[in-house]
Amino acid sequence: MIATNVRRLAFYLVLAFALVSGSVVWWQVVEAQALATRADNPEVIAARRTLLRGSIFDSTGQLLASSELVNGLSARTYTDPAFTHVIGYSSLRFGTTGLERAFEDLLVGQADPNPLRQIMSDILDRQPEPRDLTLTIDRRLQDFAAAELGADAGAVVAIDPQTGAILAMVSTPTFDATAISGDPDAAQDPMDALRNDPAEPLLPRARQGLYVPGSIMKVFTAAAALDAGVITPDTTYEDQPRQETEGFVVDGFTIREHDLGGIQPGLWPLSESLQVSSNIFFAHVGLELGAEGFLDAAQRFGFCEPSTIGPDDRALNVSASFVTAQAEDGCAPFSGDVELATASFGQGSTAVTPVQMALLAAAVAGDGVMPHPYVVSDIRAHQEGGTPSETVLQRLGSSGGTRVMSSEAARATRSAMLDAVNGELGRLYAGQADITLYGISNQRAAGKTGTAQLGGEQAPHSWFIGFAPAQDEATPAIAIAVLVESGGSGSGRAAPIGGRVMAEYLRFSGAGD
Amino acid sequence: MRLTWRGAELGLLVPILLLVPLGFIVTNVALTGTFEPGPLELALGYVALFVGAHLVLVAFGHRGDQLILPAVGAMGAIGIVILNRLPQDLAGTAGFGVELGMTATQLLWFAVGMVVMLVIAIGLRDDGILRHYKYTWAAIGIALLVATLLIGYEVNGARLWIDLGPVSVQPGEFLKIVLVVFLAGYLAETRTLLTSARMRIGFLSVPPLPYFLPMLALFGVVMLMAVRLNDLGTALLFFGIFLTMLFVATGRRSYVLIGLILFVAGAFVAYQLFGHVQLRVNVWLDPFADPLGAGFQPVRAIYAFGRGGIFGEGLGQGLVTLGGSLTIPFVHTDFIFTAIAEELGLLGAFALLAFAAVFVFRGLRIAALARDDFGALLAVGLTASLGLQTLIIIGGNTKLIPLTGITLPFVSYGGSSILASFIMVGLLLAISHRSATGADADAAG
Amino acid sequence: MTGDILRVVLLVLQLGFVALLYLILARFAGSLLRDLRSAEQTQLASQSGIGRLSVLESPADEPPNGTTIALGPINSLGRNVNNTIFVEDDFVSATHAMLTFRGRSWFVEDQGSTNGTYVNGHRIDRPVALSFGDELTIGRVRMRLDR
Repeated sequence: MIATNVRRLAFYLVLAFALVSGSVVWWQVVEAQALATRADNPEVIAARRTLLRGSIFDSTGQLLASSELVNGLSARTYTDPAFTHVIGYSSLRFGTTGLERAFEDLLVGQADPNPLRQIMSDILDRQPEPRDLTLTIDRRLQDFAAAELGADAGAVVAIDPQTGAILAMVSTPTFDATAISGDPDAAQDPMDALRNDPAEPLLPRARQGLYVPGSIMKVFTAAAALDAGVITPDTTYEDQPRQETEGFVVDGFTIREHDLGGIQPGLWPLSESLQVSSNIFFAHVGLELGAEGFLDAAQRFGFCEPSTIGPDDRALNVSASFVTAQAEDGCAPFSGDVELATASFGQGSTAVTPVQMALLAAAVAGDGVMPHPYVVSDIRAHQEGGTPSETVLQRLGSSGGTRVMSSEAARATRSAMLDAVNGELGRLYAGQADITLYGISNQRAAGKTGTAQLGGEQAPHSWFIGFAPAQDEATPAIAIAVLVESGGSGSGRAAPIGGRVMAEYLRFSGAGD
Repeated sequence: MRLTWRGAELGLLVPILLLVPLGFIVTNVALTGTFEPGPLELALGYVALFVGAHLVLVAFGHRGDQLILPAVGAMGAIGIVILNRLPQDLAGTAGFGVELGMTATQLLWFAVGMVVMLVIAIGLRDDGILRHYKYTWAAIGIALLVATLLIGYEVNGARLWIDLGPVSVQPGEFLKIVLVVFLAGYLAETRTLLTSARMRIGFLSVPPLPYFLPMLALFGVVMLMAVRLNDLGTALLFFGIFLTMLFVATGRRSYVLIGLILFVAGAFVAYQLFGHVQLRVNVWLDPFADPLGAGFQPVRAIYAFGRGGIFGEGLGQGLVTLGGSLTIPFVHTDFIFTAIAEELGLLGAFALLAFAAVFVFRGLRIAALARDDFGALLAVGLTASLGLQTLIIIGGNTKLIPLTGITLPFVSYGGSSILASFIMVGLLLAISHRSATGADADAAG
Repeated sequence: MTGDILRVVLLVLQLGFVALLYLILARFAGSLLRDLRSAEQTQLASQSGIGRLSVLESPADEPPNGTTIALGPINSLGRNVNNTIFVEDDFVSATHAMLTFRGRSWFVEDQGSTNGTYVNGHRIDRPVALSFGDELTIGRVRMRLDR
């Protein structure tokens, strides 16, 4: 009897042995190939300890990152901390981030941009050949924007609205990644210091910081409603002037206007409403657009899901922006009219990244087409000496854009944004973004400020989005989003940064005088 | 005393014992890049141990199973070759004016274990001492646990160790044996009752409680304490041993089913209550979520499996250290199978699994041939203990089940584990010897 | 150059190690198979029981010529169909003889038959121990006790 049971037990144990053997096969045969190329595989890290990485240059050929062998180990030197949150770091101890990670195999030369050559070197088992990268960013603008942010935590994202090329992408505070990129033993202390810093210098705020947008969201609300045909540039709401002082009761909740600073309420159409940043007007617009229309438009404009800068397989990741509460698969439905009305002027559960808001500005500037952003413009053969090689192996140009609204809606929004900077009322708020203040006399800027109330004692986030040149017939060359964490009012802190960065770009790109 | 020619054992031991010197030479050539064979004293020490044990068994006319010792020798050989390949300062002994590296210390424990095994295999003529004092054994087991709880100290979050001057012991390893002996004694006595008396709850037939409760109570205490000591691997192993022995004693699948249901329920409760259990499970489900933090060990193990592939990187040619630190933590204990799979590849890993399988199925054969129920159940328990431990830790390494910190018997570094495993082999050999001589006695009468 | 030789030697050694592992496995398999085979033989023997009767000559062909009959511990032979072994022959009595396994050997005892029971050609008058290979004759039917 026991012998019979033992035989049955043996059968179950055979099954167990087979199962365990199968699990070994899974990792050693089935998954082995996929594991071999992952960046945090110690084998990959080990191989890269002694491999030189290619250099990274700005758009004018200035050296940003380069490698050399120190005591047999590959050490990376970064010349400009303003680029840290774009380039990332390549640490022998902590792995790689940013572009260093996205272009890892090319930088160390384990992949060739040309598929035919790739096959050849696979067969011949060649030594890896490092490649160099060129960015779309001009170091002058990047440094200028970083200097403008100064000691404040925040972000500046500037995009060419026609091509999607990133012109500047700064996150502050930043750090010099050189210290954590060489000798792995010496890297621990600086990394610990960065990790423990309450200012969170490791966070790439431009791409992964989520902030309440405040009034800059009104640009989206206007564009979405114009595109849906819910409003025209002349639409007014007859209750609005009264509600500016009495408040607008939605579902028993009273929406109040921000301090208009002595401006007398009137029956305002879109332009004036955007100039004075009327919460009441945009609450009406949002409610008229409806929850469904609002969410549909948000998704079309790239909210509600993570996105990338660059092609998917070689991308910098951008966190999802939200117009409602965060759900597992994007934006949750609106809980009711109150949330919809408040989201329409950028409060409620809205939370956005600076990159997303720069893309919003770029879509308005780009006649309704939201460009696909990219930050690496070409891959070159490696050249020692800190100057870029003439041999361009692959160009990574613009991959166009996606139309997110009609040309008419874009034009009407653009006109309102132009007024918001230059108009009689608007000048009181966003006037500091006027590029004529910064030496560009022949061009005009468009934009919108935002003052994101956070509740409590915390100073509000200061926002500005805009583009230039924005006067009729001009083709905008730069779209921008500026965020200063707890920077106070948008007009006081973010708008002048936006104006100065746009002016600086127009000046050295030759578009302004 | 008469000599018994153990031909099969000797025939198997000869190639097995070649493994160790060969492995040492390969490792040294790979590590130094010269043709130096390196120091072979330790390899020859291993050979001498097994040859010596074989000769002692022959001299005493031992008629126990002849494949068990070679299976142990083969697993141990792979283990000692891999340990010799690792940095020797991972572990070791210093005391009495000598300092021993990891491999030497492990070999010392093999020697101690071998002596204890021989004493039990040859000296245990009568199993009465095990059978009749089962409650004494249970008491000793509980005392071991309480001792660990009171004076034990923690290593890596689990309180498993007791400090005894020059050596530290893991009482859990020995508790395992005590549990098996107790269960064998209790089940041999009550199995008829457990099988014949029937109670039904729905479609499940449940064991009659009066006979079942004492065992369940003791078992509950052991499990609770294992969880209390944060030793999940041992708790899982004990549970597996318990269910296996219950199944063999009664032949009831439904008992096992009830046990499994209880286990799932218990696991769920533990998951809800204990943070460390939650962490283990989450890391198991997605180690890549935090590859540098909680998921560090499993992620590094998975990469090592991948590096090994089918043929392995070769002895001494794997990526054991990177920039002075181990690529896989605990590579000499919990993750030694991973190191084997990396350097010897799928081929080596399968060989090790096959040796373990040979051991397990010989153990079951001993059980099937045992003279009485006690002997059979004891053999099943001992075999299940070593077999399940092997499956649990290898399955943990490959992420088949959540990782738990237990050793790979005969392979992992660790004195307590080696000594306890050899005690179990000694018991198996004793049971097997009794059934072989018993059969002869019948034939003669 | 030395480096190349070293690499080749190392490769051979590594392969040798794995090969040795599988050589050992093969020997284990051999040992296991041998054990299995001997177990099978033991099992066959136990299945066939304690002995068999081979039918050498049976004029009425019942039991059939050339067949073997597995034996239990106690077997009665005779012309009555209720016997363990039914023998169809006119010279066989209803209950002719008993064939029993006692202790460790076989015994045959005549049951007072008319024509008697013969072992190796000798008529028996009391229980007689049989060895394997002995010939047993009742009536005209001849059988041999086999293992």
